[in-house]
Amino acid sequence: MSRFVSRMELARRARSGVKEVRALLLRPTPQAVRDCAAHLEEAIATVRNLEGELGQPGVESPQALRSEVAELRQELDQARALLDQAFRAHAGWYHLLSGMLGGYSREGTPAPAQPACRWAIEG
Amino acid sequence: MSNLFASLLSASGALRAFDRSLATVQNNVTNASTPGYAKQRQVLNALEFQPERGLPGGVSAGERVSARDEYTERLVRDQQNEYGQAQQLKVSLSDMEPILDVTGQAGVPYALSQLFQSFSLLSVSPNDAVARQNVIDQAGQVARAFRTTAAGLEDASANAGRQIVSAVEGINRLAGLISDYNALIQRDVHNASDPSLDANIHATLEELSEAAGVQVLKQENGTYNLLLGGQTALVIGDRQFKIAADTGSSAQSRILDASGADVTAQVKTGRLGALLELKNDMIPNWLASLDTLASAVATKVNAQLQSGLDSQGNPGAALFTFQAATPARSLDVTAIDISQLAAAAAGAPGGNGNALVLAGMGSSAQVGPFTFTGAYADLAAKFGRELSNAQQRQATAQQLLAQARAMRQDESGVSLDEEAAQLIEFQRSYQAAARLITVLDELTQSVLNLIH
Repeated sequence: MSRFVSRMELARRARSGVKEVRALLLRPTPQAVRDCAAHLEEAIATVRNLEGELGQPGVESPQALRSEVAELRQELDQARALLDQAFRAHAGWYHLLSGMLGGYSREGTPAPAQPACRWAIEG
Repeated sequence: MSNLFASLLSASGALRAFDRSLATVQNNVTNASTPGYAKQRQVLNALEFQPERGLPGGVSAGERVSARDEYTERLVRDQQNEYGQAQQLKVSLSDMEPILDVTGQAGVPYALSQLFQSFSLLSVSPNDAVARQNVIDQAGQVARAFRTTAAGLEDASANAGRQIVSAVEGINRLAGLISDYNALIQRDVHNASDPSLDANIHATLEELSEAAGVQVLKQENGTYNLLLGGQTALVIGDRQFKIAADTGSSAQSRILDASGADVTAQVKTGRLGALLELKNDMIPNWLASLDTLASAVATKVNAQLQSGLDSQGNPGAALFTFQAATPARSLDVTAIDISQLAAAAAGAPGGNGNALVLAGMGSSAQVGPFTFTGAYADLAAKFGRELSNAQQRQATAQQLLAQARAMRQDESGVSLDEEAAQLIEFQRSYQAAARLITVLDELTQSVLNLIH
């Protein structure tokens, strides 16, 4: 496929994939984060393709290509920041709720909430 | 008959309860885009239903519950704080961009290259009056370019000072609003659950977080205490402690608490943090670099001229003058006469030896490893990096703020079980996505290195 696609186009495609990831992470539900993987895998394949093409002579200016890849990296930085914040927020939430329900351990860390006892009779 | 009355009573009670529910929903819809408003929910309580004992059942309206979650509120405020800082830095540095010209077509680098070109022309015709006058004119351009750049940086510093004063006034105004809201809650505890007051408080807190890093502590009675940088009291109950900006008494701007103590070190974030960083660290550093360069140009050119011979065979005169404390701001040309320019080297009167050395100074290392124009380019590049970082940081902060707001909006009474299950699922997906991002990051770096 890459024989018919310019290196610039490959860089653009990878960037647009990461842009999708960034958009998904703006509402970071577990489903949205799971969906990111497919876009990221596709972007990786595209960048690998681009890497392979770099040995061949190209028609585009190296500066324009560099700038496109640099912008792709900026998108990636933002996606990483969004992913990290979402994870921290969920972990913090869990920590907080555990503390509210299970109290605190001797070490001062939230203790796990103890589930209520339950009887089950099996015959 | 009594059953009929009981049924009517039950029905009218239910109507009242539903009426309140409807009013709550209507209020939610009306305030959908009110800043700081959190969705309210009317709790409905089932009444006892035992007809044989005359209890007709039905429903009554219970308390009104706010969907506000302090954890997500804090998440949003933290991001608002980061966004305020990044946005202020981006705007201020963008405004300063024309001061430090990097194109080489204007300003200090252009004037410097023209000066050394004039020395080169002088070396061709060392006794030509026009060539001699050209050197003095170009030196005048160099001095003007340094003074203009220094004045631009000083203006930017003064502007940052004015913005610091205005930011402090804004913080005091917002803190004053919070203390007024606290007074309303202290007067009547029911005000604490008033959604309109609650919306005003949270909109104000969000605005305040953009201006500075403020720790918000909700008290049991529903009031909010505010600490600047987590340490300095801004609001305790209905009492406000005003801060002040001192931008005049020393080169460094300071923030003073209500007792006059210096609390500048506690203001690292938000718009005010960015302005203090700009005024107290960044601009003074750039001015110092510009001073070093101006001083080096003037001192080295003067020394070289004074080591040569003028057109009468006397030791040459200095071309530049400046005050040691403020070289860039005070750089000027001396009252040198064209005949006093030393184009000839010592021991070779009438020649061009000294003019050749002076022309060569433009392309040799003069300030550490840099040429004069290289030293300026280094300064401009440092500024450019700060601007580029600020732009990237602002773009990321904007995204993080949007995400935090979305998480706040989606949040409503999450249970521990639900959150635990989500966290486990999230952790798995997070680790997978984080790994893929790392791979992509390394790949793109390697691609960047390969592009020639």
